[in-house]
Amino acid sequence: MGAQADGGRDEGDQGLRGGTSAPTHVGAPPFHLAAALGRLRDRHLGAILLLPSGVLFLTLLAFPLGYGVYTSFFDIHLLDRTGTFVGGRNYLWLLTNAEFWSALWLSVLWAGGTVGLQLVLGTAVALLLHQRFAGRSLARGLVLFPYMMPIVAVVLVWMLLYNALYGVVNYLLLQTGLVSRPIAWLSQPGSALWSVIFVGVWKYFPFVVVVVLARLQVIPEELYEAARIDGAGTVARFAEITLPQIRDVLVVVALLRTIWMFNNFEVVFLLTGGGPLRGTLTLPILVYEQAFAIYEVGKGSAIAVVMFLLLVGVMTLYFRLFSSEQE
Amino acid sequence: MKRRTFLISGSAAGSALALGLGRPRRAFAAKTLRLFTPEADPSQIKAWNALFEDYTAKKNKDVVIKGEFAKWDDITKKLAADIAAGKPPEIVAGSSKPDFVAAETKRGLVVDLAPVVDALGRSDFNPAALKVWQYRGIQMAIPYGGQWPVLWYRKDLFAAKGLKPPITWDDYRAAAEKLTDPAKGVYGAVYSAGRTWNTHLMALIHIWSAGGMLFDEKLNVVFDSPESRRALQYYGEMAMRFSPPDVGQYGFREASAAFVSGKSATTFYWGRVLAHLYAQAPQLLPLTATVHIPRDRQHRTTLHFDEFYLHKTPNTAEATDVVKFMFQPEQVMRLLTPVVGHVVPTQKSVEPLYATHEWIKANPDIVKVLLTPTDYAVAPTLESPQHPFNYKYEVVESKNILTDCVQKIVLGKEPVGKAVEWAHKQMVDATKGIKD
Repeated sequence: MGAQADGGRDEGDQGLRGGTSAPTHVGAPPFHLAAALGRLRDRHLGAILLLPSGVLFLTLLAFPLGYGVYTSFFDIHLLDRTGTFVGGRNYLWLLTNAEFWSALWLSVLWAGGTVGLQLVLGTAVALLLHQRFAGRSLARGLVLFPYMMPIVAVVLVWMLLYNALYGVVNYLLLQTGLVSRPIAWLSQPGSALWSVIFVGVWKYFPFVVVVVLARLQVIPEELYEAARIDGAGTVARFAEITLPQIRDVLVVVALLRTIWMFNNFEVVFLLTGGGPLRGTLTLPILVYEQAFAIYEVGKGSAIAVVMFLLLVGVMTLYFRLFSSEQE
Repeated sequence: MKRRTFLISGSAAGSALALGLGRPRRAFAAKTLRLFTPEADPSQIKAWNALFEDYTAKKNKDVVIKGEFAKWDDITKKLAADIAAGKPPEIVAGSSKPDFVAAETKRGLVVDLAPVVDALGRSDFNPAALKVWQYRGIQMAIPYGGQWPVLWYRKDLFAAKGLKPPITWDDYRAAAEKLTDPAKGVYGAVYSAGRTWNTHLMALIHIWSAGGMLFDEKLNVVFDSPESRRALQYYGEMAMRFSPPDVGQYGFREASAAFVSGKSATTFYWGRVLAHLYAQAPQLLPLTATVHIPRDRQHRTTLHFDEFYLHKTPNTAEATDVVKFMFQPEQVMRLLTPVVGHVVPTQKSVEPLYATHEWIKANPDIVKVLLTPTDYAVAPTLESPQHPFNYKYEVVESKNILTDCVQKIVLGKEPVGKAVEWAHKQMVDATKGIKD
């Protein structure tokens, strides 16, 4: 079969080559250039059409990624833009650097905390918005508000709310007598991480609401009716029907949000800059500091590469688990 | 149209677009110069833009100046990123960072402005101001205004408690204790502990005042000393007992806002607070005065000079002409007017214009200390007259070693000795191998 295919290709190639000179004998079929080009296109059209995507992939994804990996093997000062090859020394430095491990742990807490709470809150709000009540459409629109707000505006608003001198949160706590001194929400090691997580949950939970609500709307009503007839209560209906039905979208949302939150830079950076006492220093901020504040680009790249590998690991694990369950 | 034809036509059109065939022609051939500055209060941005427009209209119609504005704590990061991208702004104004500019100069990125100083008239400039911006025989920048922080205080609150303006650390501690009333949300002091440049500079002033230093005259780290420990002990106490609870996040903006909002009876700040009071709390102007920052062994404060410097770019000639325009007395005044009191002119020719500004005349209790040149103000890169230009200092500042030390004491409640020991080691490690 392979031989036949090869033979066919040879024939075609000969035909094309023959097109440049006149037919040599009267009995040969007439040669058509357009048809020959058409055969060529058949073979290469797919590749030509894929070329733009390929070029974009190489320039926008593969090159930066490869360059990042390449850079991680050099000692480069940002102002110099050139450096010396140090092999795996940046990775060794990273593995023995307490700040890296602390940042990794804080990233896990940040991503785990925000995603977990987004899923719980988002699902609860989606269930609520799935009920029939007056003003439901308005409520469904308003719930998207945090997600649509620009992040800088969100951060400014929350910084004001948290402010110890004139913030509403402290004002209410002081007025109700719950505290005797204002709480420095964003500048005390004990409270800063949770305060930042709270803002992360508030900003991004609408995404979960939208996805879960869409899924809730296509669950057949008959399932609930049958369950009611069988005497299932609210909790049982949720556990036995709703949860299994929305489970798949929750898994997808959890994966996407974990990747996004793990890589999230702006919320934490704008609220605390990684402080106080490095108590909210997540990996993306560490990369930024290493590369742009301390000007050590090679070390910054090494951290970024490790982050990338960690996320690839999580995704691989997810796809393995998810696809085996589907089967 | 056949599917094949459609796909091929689409691909061809897409490729043509990707190759830039669809790019519109440039409307005009003017050169655009980028001017980067952290001097970016809203009133200052307005003044900058007016100056840019005037330059184009009156001096050179073929040059357009585009302002880029940043926060103080972000300037070196943004500049470093631009330099790494091979696209530094042609002009930088008001960075006040001779240490960073020296790092650029070492790499040959900065234009020597000595000929421009000569063209403008060297004798018109304050020689000390020019000296701060000299390194390796190069005039890295030309300063247009000098600045030093002072203690801003509320005369009415001090009078109500029978207090006099503080001169020593002990005076200040006693006053802050009486003025602090958390139940009313009023605090006696503002000792920043954020990971910010403000915290770095305030800690430095206290260390110098107690007699400590970061580097000796041979540029060896000498930070861990009884004087530094004493200074940071005091700093920690003032931050934890008499400052707002969220000083752990404070930088320049917050330190000024605490005072202007009436929540603190005092604050350390430069002259910019005057403009903030005019804009946000004019009722506090008659109740406000300034004194020199209280001292321990000696009076000390930081000395910085806002400047113009140029990156070597294909547009250096045009950028040099812009700088010459900006240094005309009339233009300098337009630059200084939005925040009068914040920086003192470095040119003799500007001083008479500055002295007649209405804010200067209307607020003698505020501007007297702000405008009187101090003989004890210190540039961090020249800790004493015997010190050479400290090319190692930049790394201490960029790595936030001093601010981390302050945070360990104020937020982490670490013993001062342990925090200072840690910071000393960090400074030694960070400066190891740095060569002039």
